[in-house]
Amino acid sequence: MDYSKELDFAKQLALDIGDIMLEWFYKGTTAEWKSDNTPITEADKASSTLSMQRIQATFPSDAVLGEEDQTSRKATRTWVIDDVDGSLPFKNGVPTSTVSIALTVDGKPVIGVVFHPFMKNLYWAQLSGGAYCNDKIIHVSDSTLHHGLVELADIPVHSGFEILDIHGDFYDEIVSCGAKATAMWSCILPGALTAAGLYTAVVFNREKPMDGAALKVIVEEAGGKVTDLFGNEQRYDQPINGFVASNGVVHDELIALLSAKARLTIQQ
Amino acid sequence: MTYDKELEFAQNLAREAGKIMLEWFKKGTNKEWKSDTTPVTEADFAINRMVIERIAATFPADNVLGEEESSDNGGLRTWVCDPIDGTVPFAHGLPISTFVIALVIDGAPVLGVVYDPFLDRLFYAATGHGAFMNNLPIHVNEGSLKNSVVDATGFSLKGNMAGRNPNFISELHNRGCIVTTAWSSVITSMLIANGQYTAILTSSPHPHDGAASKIIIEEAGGKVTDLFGNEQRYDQPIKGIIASNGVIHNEVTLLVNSK
Repeated sequence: MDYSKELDFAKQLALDIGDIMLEWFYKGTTAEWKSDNTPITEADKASSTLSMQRIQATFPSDAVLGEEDQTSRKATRTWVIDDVDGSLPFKNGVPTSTVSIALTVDGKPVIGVVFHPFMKNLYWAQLSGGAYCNDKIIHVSDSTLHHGLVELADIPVHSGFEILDIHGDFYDEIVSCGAKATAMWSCILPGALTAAGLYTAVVFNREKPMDGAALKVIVEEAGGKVTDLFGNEQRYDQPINGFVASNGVVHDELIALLSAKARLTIQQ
Repeated sequence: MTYDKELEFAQNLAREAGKIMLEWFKKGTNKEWKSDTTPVTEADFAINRMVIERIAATFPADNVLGEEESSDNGGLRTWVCDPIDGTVPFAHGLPISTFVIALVIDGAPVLGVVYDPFLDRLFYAATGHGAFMNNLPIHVNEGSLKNSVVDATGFSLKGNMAGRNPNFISELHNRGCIVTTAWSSVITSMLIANGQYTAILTSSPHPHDGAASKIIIEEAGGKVTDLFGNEQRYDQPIKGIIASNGVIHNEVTLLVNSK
């Protein structure tokens, strides 16, 4: 199955949403913006309106699952979109937000596009077609945890949990393996950087499929692995059991660490 | 006492350092660099060398305390410099590192310049003249802990929190605070000065992690102390940093130091 038309469409949409993000990010940074709505709200609204309109005009029978907006109908083909990933860094002047677009067919991501407008890096992949950054092929690293960098997304160090109640010492456990851990509150960029061989892994402890759908295909086409927090495959057109996206090398070790350190709060 | 000449010098130096950072950052992320050394090490040393040469040429009596190399002339004034703050994000493709320089006289920073080359944000301040980003005055926010964003990097529950409250991060959470770990404490410090972040904590012993932030954040209306809430010198090893909008400073200091 060839999805080159959908891929080109998604790339253009991601670039256009990137422009919207940059415009509102700079307004927020220089405090030019005085209104009830914050720049992030405006950026979110403008981007999700754009993606909804474009998809409905170009692929009218497809469903859309976005953070802000979604179609009510169910369909085999669903566009799963995070228009502005990382609202927290966006609001606070940290340039790590991205736009993430995936097309899933029967729950399986077949194309994925992630755009990081601040560095103008466009990451993309099509099932069985390899992964790319700006048309250059990318590959995961062969780093072990010992030298790795892991993003712990939405694993509040010690409170609140969505999928797994991960004990506070999970962070220490990662560190004692020799790895470093970041908590950027924007997991898609570290995921794309995992595909590009720069990060080692991302652990994401929430139910939102928009955060994992594009990474699933980009990271795996780059040679890595993406599963839920228990090491299983899952659908990406409905709530997910979190995800671990890694270079593959550290995958089983991370899943084992998680299950050792977590109290299961939902049925597998 | 004004430091117009020094400020202009440091700003120009910062922009030149930023060019070197960008060049090596791109080599790193594009994997164009094949060698035993890493792009971040190359950039770090190249910038450090440039800083020492330029200061020797322009202010020959001053000392330089750099992360990689220093020069001590026995002068009263010391330039404290971190060629690249945030080497971890730099090496892994996150564009959140900065060039940092401060002029310290008798242990007290009198001017500070921080440059973020990725978004072309130049932060600076000199004693008594306010803080600026790209020529616009900046000011800390008035937020309380609830709903505020705080960066805490480099704290390990078992390790370097020994003797302090190992649960301070979870207590920040309990008070409604969002905690990031960015491994780049100076950019998040500048975002305090710009009214976006509310506080940062680091256990760093390096004066270059706090010298520029001390003057820029305080000129923006905030507060910077060591991890125990005390003033400290910035031309010798430091006892960590708590930097904040001022409003939450005592509360954070108490949290970190309660048993």
